[in-house]
Amino acid sequence: MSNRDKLKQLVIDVFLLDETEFRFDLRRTEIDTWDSLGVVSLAVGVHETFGYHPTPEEATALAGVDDVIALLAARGIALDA
Amino acid sequence: MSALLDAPPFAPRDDAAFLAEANALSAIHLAGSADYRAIWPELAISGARAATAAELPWLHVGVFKRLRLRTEAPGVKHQRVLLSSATTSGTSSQVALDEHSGRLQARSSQAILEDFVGPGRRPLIVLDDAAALRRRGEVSARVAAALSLVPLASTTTFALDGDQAAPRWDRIALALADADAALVYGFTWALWQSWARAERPDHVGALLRARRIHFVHSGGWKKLEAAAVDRDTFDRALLDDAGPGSRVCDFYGLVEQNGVIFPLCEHGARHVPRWAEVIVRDPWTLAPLPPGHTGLLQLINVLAHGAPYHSVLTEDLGELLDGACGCGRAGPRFTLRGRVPQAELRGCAVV
Amino acid sequence: MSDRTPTPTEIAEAWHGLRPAMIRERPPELSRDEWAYLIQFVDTSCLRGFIGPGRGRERVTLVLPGNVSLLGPLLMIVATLSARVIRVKLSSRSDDVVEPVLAFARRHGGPRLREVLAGVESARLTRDDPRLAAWLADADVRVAFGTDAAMAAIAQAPHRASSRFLGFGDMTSEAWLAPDASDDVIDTLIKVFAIYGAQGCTSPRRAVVLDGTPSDLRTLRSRLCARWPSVIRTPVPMHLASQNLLHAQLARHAGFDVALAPGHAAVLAKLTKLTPSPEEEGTVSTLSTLAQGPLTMTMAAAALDDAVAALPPNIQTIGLGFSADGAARARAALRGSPARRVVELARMHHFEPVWDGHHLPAVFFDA
Ligand SMILES: [Zn+2]
Repeated sequence: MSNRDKLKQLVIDVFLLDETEFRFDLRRTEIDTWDSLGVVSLAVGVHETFGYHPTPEEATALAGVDDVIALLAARGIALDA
Repeated sequence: MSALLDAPPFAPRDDAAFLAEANALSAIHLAGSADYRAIWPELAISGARAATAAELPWLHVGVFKRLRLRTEAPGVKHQRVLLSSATTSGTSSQVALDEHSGRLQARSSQAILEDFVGPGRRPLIVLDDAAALRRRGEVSARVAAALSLVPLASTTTFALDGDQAAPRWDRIALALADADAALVYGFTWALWQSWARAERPDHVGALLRARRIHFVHSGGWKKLEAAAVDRDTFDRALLDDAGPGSRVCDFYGLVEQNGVIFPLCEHGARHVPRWAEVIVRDPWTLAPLPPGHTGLLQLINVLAHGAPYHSVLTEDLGELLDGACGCGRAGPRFTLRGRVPQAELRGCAVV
Repeated sequence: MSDRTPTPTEIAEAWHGLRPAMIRERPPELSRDEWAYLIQFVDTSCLRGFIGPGRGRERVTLVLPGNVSLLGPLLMIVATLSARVIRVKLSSRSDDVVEPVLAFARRHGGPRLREVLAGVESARLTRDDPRLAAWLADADVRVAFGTDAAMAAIAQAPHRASSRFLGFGDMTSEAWLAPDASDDVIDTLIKVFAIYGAQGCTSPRRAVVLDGTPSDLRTLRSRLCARWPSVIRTPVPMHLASQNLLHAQLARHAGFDVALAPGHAAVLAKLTKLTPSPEEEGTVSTLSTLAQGPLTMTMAAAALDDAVAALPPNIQTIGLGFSADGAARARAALRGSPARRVVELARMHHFEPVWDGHHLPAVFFDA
């Protein structure tokens, strides 16, 4: 599975989305379940999937799927790998 | 006295007269109860001038479980305290009864019941213990409900002794002997347990099958639902052993609205008498809801003088019904939708 | 399965390993906030703080009341780090969150965690059940929540001479804010309050604006009302909306100036002053149990010294919503006060190795 697919699956899993609801430009404001539990789950999930554990500040600052991509890129984890 | 009581309960309404009487009653309670003024400080200053029934001040039904409210006013003579059955929280509501309101409430319940069971006195059989009457200073909701039928009774027979589940059929047979009709009242559960499912001597069954019986019950379906008994089964079990023209009448009422009862009509609606009003409110905004939307029931009447229980926000859910009812009664009507679901918030020292 | 007892650190790691399952499924008995907190709590870096030197005490008995907060499962998890035999007495009457957490961990945990949990037994018992007496009699550590009277009875029940007792009684907590609190602080107060309302021992049952005026207090309440719906987006359950209407009336009756947060989400009951005059004593400074609702927050403005002087004896936590300077000043003033914990506002509910004046690692481990 590509990193791109892994991220998509992770977002679908932790935010309880339907596959058809997913987009790479989804914003936090569009997702009801991106609340306190969503923030924690996403951080744990990113760690589990990509090996990098966002700090609580980083996790709280994520405002959309593209921010996750940027955070990973800054840690040398490319999505197209 | 309320002029609204001079016409039959479900005759066309006079909403302006109702509002005027309700405003006057709020003013009496604001003047006569410091507790009420503390709860409605803004009205204590500006006075009670609601432009619609929905703007009338109200008390949450839970207030009556925590405060013993009384209104002092000229002509108000306090009598006993009416107690509701204790709820799961173990506390019961307390409603201060008074002589003046008592007369109005008796006229109200008699008029409403007559509209459903017809006029004329007949033997009343109460599925309760007469000992429940003899408590000093207070009266239970069950007894109050039974007493509201007394104006329709030629004789009154209490048919249970102590905690016995089986009624005294000998007393019942005696009460039925010379009548061609009768009223049987009990809490819904008692009517099921001690009447519908009880072993009946043959000669009592024969007496019942030769008479027109109105079974009147109140108190809710919770226990029967738990026992998986629906309304049809319940009604059939009662009517099996009853003569032609017999009927079952389920009414809803609160001790905090003593005197105003809401029997279920033959078209499944509960009708509001001219001297009362029902508002359905959104639990999260209190906005009055139009027909077809479920919300908290607020019950208002113009009979309660001894304490501010003329306008009560309940924890019962209901829905107003649109259009005219097939039974021909005028005025607003509603249907019950259960109670507000209860659950406790978690904490540390909550035991 | 393994031939040796796992170390506390290995047990902490076993809990940590539950997290991938936790982010994908939540037992419906726990709220999203509670589950989020639990996911963070089982992180090894957090659990490590609860491990003491020396040997773990073997047998722990937890006595939990009905509707216990997350503290119930948290203490159960802490106990697994040290103890081999853990007995949990649950309320015989109401719902509970310990069993759902246990069931989840047994279903999704690895072999090591399942082995540890094989030593956990829970049962819904009444307080006079002989099983509870037996559990208390042979425990090395006894932990109890509840009213002060209930706890005293549990502490006195027959027990070993060496047994430790931890009691979490009826405590109350406060949030202290600056008059010019930032929006972040306001939002944090709303979040912290919304979790257990006024029901938790670490819940801010009262908010105090330090060195504030009555007008600051009015402003604070308007800001809370204005921001509430955007911070807590799900409406309160219907019965709480209804209960809040009741408790707003009861608080008014008790002399408070009351507003409801939008959606009837909370009752915000304002005091004119924190320290009542002698003739007002007992009438306005705190809500009586009669009027204190599950989601009622009282609010007052007070000078720092008055706020310290007005602390109730059962004060547990003070959550501070200040800039660094303000917090330092408040901490200094609170030294020697009865407050057990002084923390940042956001950390009021955070369960920490030093809790209620007890150093938990020293209770669960025998150095
Ligand atoms: Zn009808």
